[in-house]
Amino acid sequence: MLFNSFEFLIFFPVMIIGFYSLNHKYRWLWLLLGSYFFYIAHEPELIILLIVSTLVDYFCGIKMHEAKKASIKKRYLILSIITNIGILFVFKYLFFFTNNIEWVLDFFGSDVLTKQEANSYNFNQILLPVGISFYTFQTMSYSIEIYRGVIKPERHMGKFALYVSFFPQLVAGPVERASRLLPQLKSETTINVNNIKKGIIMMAWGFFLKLVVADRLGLYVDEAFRTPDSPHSLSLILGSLFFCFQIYYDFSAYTSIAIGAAKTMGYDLIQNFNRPIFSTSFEEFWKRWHISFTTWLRDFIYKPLIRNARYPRLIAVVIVFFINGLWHGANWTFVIWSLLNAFILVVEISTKQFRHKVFNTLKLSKRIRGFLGWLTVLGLMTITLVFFRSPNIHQALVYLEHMFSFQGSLHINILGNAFELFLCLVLIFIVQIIYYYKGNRKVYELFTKQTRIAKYSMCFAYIFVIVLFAINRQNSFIYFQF
Amino acid sequence: MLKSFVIKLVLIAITFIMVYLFFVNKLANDFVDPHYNKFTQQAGGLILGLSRANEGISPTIIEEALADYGLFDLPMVNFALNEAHFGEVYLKAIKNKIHTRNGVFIISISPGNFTAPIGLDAKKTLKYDKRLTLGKVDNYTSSPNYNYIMNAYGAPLYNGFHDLDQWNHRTSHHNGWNEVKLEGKHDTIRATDIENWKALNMKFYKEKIKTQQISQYRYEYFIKTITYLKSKGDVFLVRMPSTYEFLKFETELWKSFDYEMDSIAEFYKIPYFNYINKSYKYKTYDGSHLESESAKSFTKELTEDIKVYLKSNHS
Repeated sequence: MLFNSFEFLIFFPVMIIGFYSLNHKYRWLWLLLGSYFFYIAHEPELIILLIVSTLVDYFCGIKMHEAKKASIKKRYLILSIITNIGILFVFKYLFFFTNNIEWVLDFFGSDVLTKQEANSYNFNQILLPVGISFYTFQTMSYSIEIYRGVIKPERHMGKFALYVSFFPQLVAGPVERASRLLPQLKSETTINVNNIKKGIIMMAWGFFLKLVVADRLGLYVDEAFRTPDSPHSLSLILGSLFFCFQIYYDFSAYTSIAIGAAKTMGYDLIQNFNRPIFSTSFEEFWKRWHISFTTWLRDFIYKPLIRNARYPRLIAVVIVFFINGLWHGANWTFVIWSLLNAFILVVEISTKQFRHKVFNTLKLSKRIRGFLGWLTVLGLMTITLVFFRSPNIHQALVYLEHMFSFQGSLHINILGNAFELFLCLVLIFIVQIIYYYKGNRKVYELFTKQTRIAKYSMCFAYIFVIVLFAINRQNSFIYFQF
Repeated sequence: MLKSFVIKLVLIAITFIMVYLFFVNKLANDFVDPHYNKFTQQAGGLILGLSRANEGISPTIIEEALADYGLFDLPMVNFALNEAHFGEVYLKAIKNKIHTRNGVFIISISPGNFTAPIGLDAKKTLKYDKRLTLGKVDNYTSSPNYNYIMNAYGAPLYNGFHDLDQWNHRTSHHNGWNEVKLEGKHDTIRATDIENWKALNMKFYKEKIKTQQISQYRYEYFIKTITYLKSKGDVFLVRMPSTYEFLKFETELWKSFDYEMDSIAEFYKIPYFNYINKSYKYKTYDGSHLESESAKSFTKELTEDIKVYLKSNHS
């Protein structure tokens, strides 16, 4: 089920009314059934994977905790990781993997399988389950934290299943740690109007970001990337720049709706963003972007890699970013995008002192340094994201080539609608101003800290803006595909 | 506190619904989009197919020409869309659209009608089709059609206040025909424009075909569509004229296409009118689709052939 669908408009109030009408003892069951229904409404047959992942991690968690020997503990951890990675591999990467093997074998002139035999396996027919990368990583963190002794296993299978499948964050995160979410799901929440208000405002903000801003930018982006060999370089630059904002607003919209939906029930989900577009360096950007996932990579991959100087830090960074790229999708374009980010990060860190010396010599103020840094980050994001958005490496290279060809054309109105283009720019400006002053966490203050008349006016303005300016395409969120 | 909060929420929800319906209604009474008129009436006869039929066959001309017979149910509606490939979704729409036992059904065919993205089996093709316009809509016959606007209209509702979205060379008729004139309100489509669009279109088709395959599922539903329509009236298979380059491109995609369509027509005892060899008589505005005057001439020629067929078979 999509958040931006009519079904959700009915589903969500029913969930909330049911949640508060029930005794605390039965709320977990209500939420679990609702969460499974939420998933089944999208992909009925693939619910089985969610259940398998849940059962295996539940079982491994308890066994790990009960095990006296370290070797047995490790065995259960491996079982949990293999199960989750195995599910991911089969359903997300098998076709990609076999395709690459086939390419390598072809390259060396080996015919292990004929084309017909290879096609008969139909790996490309395997459906990619929605949210698979999110819930497998979430359950893996649970197992690893038990293995490390950070948390104790959850004995109540139903509540654990709810932690894995909690509907607001099931399909696109945030990737919640059990130590944060499970105690909340177990504790009794009472009805709190302020929580419901904050939640609804966050959801309303998310819907505005998605329907009015991100999907509108998407129209321009789709058109720009449809013709990567366009002679209008400026339109290609703008297309990629808009994509930079589109993916941020789209993902931020989902997160806001997820956080808001959970908040209405009294639960706090982790905020995934901290004004990433204002970052003045790539190091800062990766600390502010998709926080729940980047901290996952930091805690469970990067730190173990550099512990006891097992790997040099630079190598560890490259490994982490390789995994980051692959996590986003089974396509080399994502890997290249992520590795380019790693490369920039490495260059940035290793030239930090040199840059400071140059800036000091030039006597640049902190503000100008910040501005230059911000401009550089935005520029490089715009370039690297071309790989992220393109369907293959060839098209990305064609796009980049034409983006920098500057054939004298100043044409940017590729949709043939100057008002829409103007609207895109105005909306980006407005959203960034709001994020600048309120951050991603406290957007609700825009509303709650107003006078009564201002609140009513804002309500009406919101209704008119959504009704008149929303792009009614029921597009799924970009991060659904990951 | 909770009670007043709930009351406020309900009032906001009611306001939202009312404002939404007001603007949906406003849009429905003006120009919606080029496909909208195909979804606003029940039909006695249908023109089916893809974009070539959408722009190249006028229902009015057919209605007038067949009026002498007085045998066929009206109105004739152009229900061809560029996304209307044969399949369960299109057949369901057709079944909902018609109210006749005595209609004329013109099915425009080319290899393009039978394509689906590579790797999709029947189930996935159905899922794919459901995401397109025909799949999103449940109501094909209401006027105004709120269901269409709510589910398939992809632009913002502020468009209800102007009609900038309509291309000044296109007229969307109430019977679903999208007529494209070379002379527009503001400019004229010149020979150089046509050549340019032709090249762009060809490039687009060549890129697109890399991701497409001829689908068994579509073929099966083509047969099911013929079988169903035969129970509701007279069915005519038509291969429309286009330019040499595009027809050559299609032939390369499916070499025995005309032969197979001839066989199907013979088996089901329906006529197959193939006009590709008469393409020189007609003019396109982009290499593939007929411009207004050619569309009218072509429809007249098609109607004459239909009349001849009907005379010999209904007498």
